[in-house]
Amino acid sequence: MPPFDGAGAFGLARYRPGRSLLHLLHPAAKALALAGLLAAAIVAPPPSELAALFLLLNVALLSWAPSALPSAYRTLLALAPFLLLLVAIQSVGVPSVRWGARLPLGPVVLFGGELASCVATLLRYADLVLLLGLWAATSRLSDLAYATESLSAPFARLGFPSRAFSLAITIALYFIPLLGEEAERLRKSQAARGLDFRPRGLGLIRAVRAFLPLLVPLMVLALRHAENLARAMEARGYSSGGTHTRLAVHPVRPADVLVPAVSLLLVPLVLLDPFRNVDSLLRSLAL
Amino acid sequence: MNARKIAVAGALGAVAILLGATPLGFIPWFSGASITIMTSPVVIGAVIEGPVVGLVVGFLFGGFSFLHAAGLFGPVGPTDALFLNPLVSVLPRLLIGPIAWLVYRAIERLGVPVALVLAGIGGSLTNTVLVLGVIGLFKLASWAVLGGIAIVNGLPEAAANAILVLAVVAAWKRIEYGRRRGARLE
Repeated sequence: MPPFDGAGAFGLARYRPGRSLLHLLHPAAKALALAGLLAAAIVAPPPSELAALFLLLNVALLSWAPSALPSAYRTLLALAPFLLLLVAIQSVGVPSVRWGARLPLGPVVLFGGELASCVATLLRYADLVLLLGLWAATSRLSDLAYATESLSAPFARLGFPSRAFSLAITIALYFIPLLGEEAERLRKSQAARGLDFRPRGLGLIRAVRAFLPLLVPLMVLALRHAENLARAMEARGYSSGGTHTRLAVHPVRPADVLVPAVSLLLVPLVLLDPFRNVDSLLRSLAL
Repeated sequence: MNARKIAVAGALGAVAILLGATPLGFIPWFSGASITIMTSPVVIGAVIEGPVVGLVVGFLFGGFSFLHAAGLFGPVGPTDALFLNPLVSVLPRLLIGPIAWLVYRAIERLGVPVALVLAGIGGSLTNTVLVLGVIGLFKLASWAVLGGIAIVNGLPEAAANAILVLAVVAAWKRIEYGRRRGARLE
């Protein structure tokens, strides 16, 4: 079993420090804008709107977080084999896209419509990866907790534990490196006692039992840390009700309203298919 | 939610994320196949502290797999593309904890060890059935293939999760079960 490092795994999170419009956006506004753009990428009719979004995201990444662009493309490259299989399943041989010119590709003959559908599916996935890459490059992991609390605050009146929810996310993010170190310490100490993590034969129970001396102490340690933390919180007077203060406060500025509003408006806009004339032109060319 | 529930949700959420980000969450089996055990912290949270804690840990697990699929936490595998859809990666994971808790409460009177095993199986199968079900509804794979995955992968995973849930909760709550009941020091 190779050594692992929880802190190291999360050191790979893609935040790139900066002072751009996106970096300075309120975490909740950024999360709303992300949700709007994700929805737009999922519902956009193919392929012109998806291609426009792809171009826009590349320009945004180049402008605001250029160093994040290679890692986004590396991810796309890693996903490529499965994506190609997926587009083949979803697009090739589907009656609704069997239109247009026949394109012989070795032993296979593709229709223009099938090719267009393949390109659209690939663009949709590329848009999702670039979009999340852009968000991660301009957001700290701690922004997740802030955004969750701000966005779920209206539901607190209905009994939703928005502050508790956000605090649990914050605790999880701070516990990951700590538990990563504990896991590595446990792995080394169990290996020193002669524990072998390699699978032996087909036995499922045997495979799981080999990992129990590592997983059970790790989870019990996590629960013990949680209990100590809970005692410390209660000793300091923490209560889930009442008002609380924050160490970092993000004031809401006009851009924090404008950016998510524009991105959420994109969803009905792409559904109206503003580039349908371009799509028709491409379709006639394919025919 | 009191301080204890919040802290347990955070700690087990961290365990779920750590299992997904490191080889710890993938128990190697045979011929390169591995069993994933990321649902066990969700079930453990639900059984120990209730369905809301299970829901929060499930949200952290699902949110992590969504962000991980986009390559935000290191290298991705080819099948991670499926988890770029939050309906596949996040939504099914929210239900693991509440369903495992329901199974545990329904069977608790027959004996806590039995209830823990069945809660582990229930939580894991909820994950398998809902994730594969949403993939099938989006027509990302054929139902025949998904059925095969559910049997070949889902059932061993359910068994592995059941063992882990029983071992961890029994160790935490000092429940005696099976032949080995620990050393008697007195």
